[in-house]
Amino acid sequence: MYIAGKRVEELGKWRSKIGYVPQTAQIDYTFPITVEEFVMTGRFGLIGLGKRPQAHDWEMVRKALREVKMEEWSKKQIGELSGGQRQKILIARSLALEPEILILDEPTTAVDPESSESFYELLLRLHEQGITIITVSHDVGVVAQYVDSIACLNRRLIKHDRPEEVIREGVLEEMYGREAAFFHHGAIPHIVVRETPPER
Amino acid sequence: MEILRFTFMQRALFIGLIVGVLGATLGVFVVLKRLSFMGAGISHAAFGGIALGYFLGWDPILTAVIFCISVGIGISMLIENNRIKEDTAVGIFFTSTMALGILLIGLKEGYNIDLFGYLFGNILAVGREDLVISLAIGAIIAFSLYFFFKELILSILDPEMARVIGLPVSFLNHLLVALIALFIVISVRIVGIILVSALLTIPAATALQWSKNLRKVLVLSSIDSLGCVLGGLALSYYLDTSPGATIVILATLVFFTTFLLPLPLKKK
Repeated sequence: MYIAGKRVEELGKWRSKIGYVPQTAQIDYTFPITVEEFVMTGRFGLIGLGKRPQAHDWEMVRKALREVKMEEWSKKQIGELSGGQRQKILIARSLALEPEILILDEPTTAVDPESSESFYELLLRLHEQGITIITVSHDVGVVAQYVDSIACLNRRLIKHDRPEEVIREGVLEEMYGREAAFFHHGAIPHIVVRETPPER
Repeated sequence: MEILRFTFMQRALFIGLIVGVLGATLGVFVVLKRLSFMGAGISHAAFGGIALGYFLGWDPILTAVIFCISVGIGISMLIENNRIKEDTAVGIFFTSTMALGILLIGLKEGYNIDLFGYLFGNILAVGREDLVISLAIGAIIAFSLYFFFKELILSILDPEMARVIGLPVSFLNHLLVALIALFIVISVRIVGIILVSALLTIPAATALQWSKNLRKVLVLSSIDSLGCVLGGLALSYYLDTSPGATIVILATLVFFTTFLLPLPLKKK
């Protein structure tokens, strides 16, 4: 696999250009750490062993918090945040790294539908600033509203250049069998893909 | 201060100072990483290490240092791939190393080890070399905690992210366990093997009730721990009680008093 023309194993310093937001981060939210300190942990790889964050690092943290509109929460303990806010500081932590690529694994699983929508708006804004965003999602319908291209994975990976192609009937069924279903609520049609157990 | 007239007491208070501050600081990491039981396990392994030292004719404290670090890292390697659960691994080492100690002492003919002193602490036995060892080991612990501070924090808070950004998470886990082992060895004289893990748990647990700010937690834990160690030593002198037990009871009293205080009194 190649990223920016480099083999993944040989990314070296380029690794720090990739931000990652895990699915269900195994974070202990009772940990005595404030939101800004938490976001700073995203820069630890850059700062280096044995060194302390400098003024520039704190500036990047503030910028990241501004980006996700969580500035006023910066002195709060991370346990005081709601699910949607926690997701935002996870993004801010990746942004503190000043990434060129942001990888998100099921970013809206623990977030209510309303926050989920504003969350995608946030991703869209970041994308407009030049960050490449790769996200994994089961909610094809919602994601399709925001992305430039989609790749469907069900044991084989098929990339579609235009998301409309995927929403077209037949494509999902071909990919996921009858487990893919449309349902409507609110303004956005949802296409939900249920994971099928592997054939024996 | 009558208490300070005695050399043994001066030495005990000096080690108490080191042990109080380091135990409190290291303890915050131990409690946050939920390693309290690991601390108890490694401290009991110190008994096996001391007995091994006697059996082989080596310096018991230095043998215990190496033995405890090996046991600690052994436990953390066993649990690393989730093949064995942590409490099970600690439970196995906890008992087997104590059994080894009892076995070796039985095998050594004509032994005259101050067993009680190692198990429950003996401040009368604090010698000049103990001061030197405590200072040296204390410096190693303090430097490691300072140097790897932010790396340890992230590896406890979010190990997955720590791995993603390329931190040596396995090394940091082993380091923490090795530091616990080192701490146990320098506090054995003051509180003894049986009670030493209390110093790594109670002051930190008390401080965590008072604040959600890591720096404040570290400061509060140190103040509490220093107060309990030095206060406990002084109290034990005047009440003629066991110093280790007095320190632990005092720390426990502070913990429960804090615990029972109404929440609004404790700043968040």
